[in-house]
Amino acid sequence: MTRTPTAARFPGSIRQVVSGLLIIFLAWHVFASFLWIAPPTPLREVVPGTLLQSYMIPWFGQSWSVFAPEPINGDNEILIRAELRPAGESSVTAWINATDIEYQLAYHNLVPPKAATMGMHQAADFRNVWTKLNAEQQASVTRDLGQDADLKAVLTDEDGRLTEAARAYIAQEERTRAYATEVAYAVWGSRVTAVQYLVQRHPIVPFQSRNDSTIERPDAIQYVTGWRAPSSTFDASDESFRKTFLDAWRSYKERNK
Amino acid sequence: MIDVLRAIVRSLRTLVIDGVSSALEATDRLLRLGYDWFVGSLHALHGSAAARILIGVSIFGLVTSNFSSRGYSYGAAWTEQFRVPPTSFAAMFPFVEIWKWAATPAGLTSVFIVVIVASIGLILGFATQISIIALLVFWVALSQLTTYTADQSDNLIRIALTFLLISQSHRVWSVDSWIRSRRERSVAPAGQVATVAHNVAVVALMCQICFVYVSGGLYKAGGQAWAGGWAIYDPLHVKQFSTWPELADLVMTFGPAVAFATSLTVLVQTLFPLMLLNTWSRRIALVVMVFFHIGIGVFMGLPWFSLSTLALDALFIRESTWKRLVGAPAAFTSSVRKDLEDVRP
Repeated sequence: MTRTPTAARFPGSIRQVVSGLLIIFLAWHVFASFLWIAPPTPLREVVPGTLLQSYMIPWFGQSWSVFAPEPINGDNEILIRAELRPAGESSVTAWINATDIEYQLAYHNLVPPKAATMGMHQAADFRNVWTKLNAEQQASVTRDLGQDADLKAVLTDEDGRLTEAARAYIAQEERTRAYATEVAYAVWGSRVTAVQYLVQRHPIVPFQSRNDSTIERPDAIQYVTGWRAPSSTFDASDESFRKTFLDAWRSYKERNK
Repeated sequence: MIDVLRAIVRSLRTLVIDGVSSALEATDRLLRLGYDWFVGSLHALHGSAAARILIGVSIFGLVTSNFSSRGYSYGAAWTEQFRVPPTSFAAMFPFVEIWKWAATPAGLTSVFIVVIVASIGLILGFATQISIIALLVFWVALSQLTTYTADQSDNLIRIALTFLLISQSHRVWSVDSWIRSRRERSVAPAGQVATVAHNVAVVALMCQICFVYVSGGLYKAGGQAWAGGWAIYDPLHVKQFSTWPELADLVMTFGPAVAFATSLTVLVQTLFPLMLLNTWSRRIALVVMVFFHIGIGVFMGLPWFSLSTLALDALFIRESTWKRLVGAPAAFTSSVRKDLEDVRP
C-alpha cells in the first residue's frame, strides 16, 4: 500500500488558505483564552457582545482561582443519626460522622476515589444556602417535620411567598435528606423511621498555633435542622451506596479502635 | 520661495514613503518568519507525544481508581444527577445520550470500560485519532455526569484532548508509527496542512498552561494566607486535601520552610512564561513545577490533576532533551551488550 502525502492531494493555493485560517484561528483562540483565564478586567470589553462567553462556554470553560485568594481552612461535614423502630419502643442512635467515614476511602491512599468527598461537597453546598436564610427561617428549620409536614410550608412567609433563598435552601435540604437517608439505610437498615443531620464547618488549628500543644482545635460551627422523615425517593436497597459506605465504615472503625 | 517649499514637500514625501515601505517590509518579513515557523516543520513532536501519553495515564488513572466505587460517585442516586442534566454538557448532543445511558448500573459500567480502553489506546498511540474522538465523547460525558466529582483537571484534559486531536502526537512513541514503519520503508512526512495544524495545537496548549499558571499566581497574590506565607498549611490540614495528615504535620513544623514553599509557589506560577525565555531559568521553572506537582499529587491526594498539568509542561522540554532521555537507556543497553560480548571467550 502506498500513501499519498497530503501535499499531493491539495493544490497549493488551498493549502495556503487553510494554513492561514488555522493560524488566524490560533491567534483568536489564544487571545480569547487569555481574556477568559486571567482575572476579569475591562480588557474583556474589546470583544463585542457575548462572543467571548459563547466561544469559551461550555467547551473551553475553566476557572483557575483554585486555593485563591484564601485557601480552604475548615472541614465541611455531615453528621447523621436515626430513630429506629424496634418492636414496641423507638430508640435514637448515636451520631455518626458520614463525611469522616467517606474520607476513610482516601486516607493513606495514593490514588483516592471521588467517592471520598461526596458528602463534603454536599455539606459545603448546604452551608452556602443555610447561611443565606434569615434568622427566622434558620430557627424554623430546626423544627421536627414528620412524614406529611412540608418544608415549603415551614419556610413560606406571612404573605404566602417563598423567597429565593428559601427555594435554594429547600433544594439543598432535600438532597441532604436523600444522602442522610441512604447513609441511615446502609447502616441501620429498614428499621429507620426518621433521620436527623447536622451539617458543620470545623475550622483547622490556625498555622500560628500549630506547634502549641495547649491550643485546642476551634469548635465546629453547626447548622442545625430538626428530625425529618426518610426521603421517600429511596428504598433501602441502593446496593452500590451501601457497599461502598459500609466498606469505608469498616476500615474507619478499625482505624479508630 | 515656492521652489524651497516644493523641495521640502518632496523630501518629506520620500521620507514618508521610505518609512512606510520599510515598516511594511519589516512587517512582511516578520509575518513570513512566523508563517515559515508554522509551515516549516513539526515542533515539539516528542513533547506532544509525551503530553499524549501523560494525558492518557491521567484518564486511565482517574477511571480505574474510581471504578470500584463508581456507583457511589459517578452513578450516585441521591444527587438527582439523572433526573435533570446537572451540567450544560449533559444536556448537549452527543453527551446527553451517554447521560441517559449511564443512568443504569450496567450503562455506567460500559461507559467506564469504553473510557479505559480508549485511554489505553491514547497511551500506546494505537488508533490514536479514534481513541481521542472516543475520549472526547465518552470521557467528557463521564466527567460531566455530576458536579460532585468535578475538578479543574476535567476541563484541562478536555482542552488538551481537543488540540491533541489535530496534532501529530502519534508520529513518535506510538504503536501507530511502529505499524506504519513496518508496512512502508519510509514514513511519509506530514503534509503542509497537517504540519500547521500540529504547530497550532502545540502553541495553543503552551499558551493554555502559561495562562493557567499566571492567573493562578495572580489570584493567589491577593490572599492574606499567600502573602503571609502559610497558605499551603491550610488545605493540607483540611481532610479533603490531606490524605497523609502525619506527613503534613511533620512538613509544616518548620515555619520558614512553609513560607519558602508558599512564596515559591506564587512566584514561579506568576513568572512561568518569563522563565521560559532563557534556557537556565526554563530548566529551573520546569524542575520546580515537577516537584510542585509531585507534592500536590502525593500530599493532597490529587495525582491525576497533577499529572494532567505536567502533561502540558512536557511540551516545553526540548526535542534534543527528549531524544537524549530516550537515547540514554538504549545506549546503556547496547554498551552492556558490547561488554558482554567482550567477556565471552
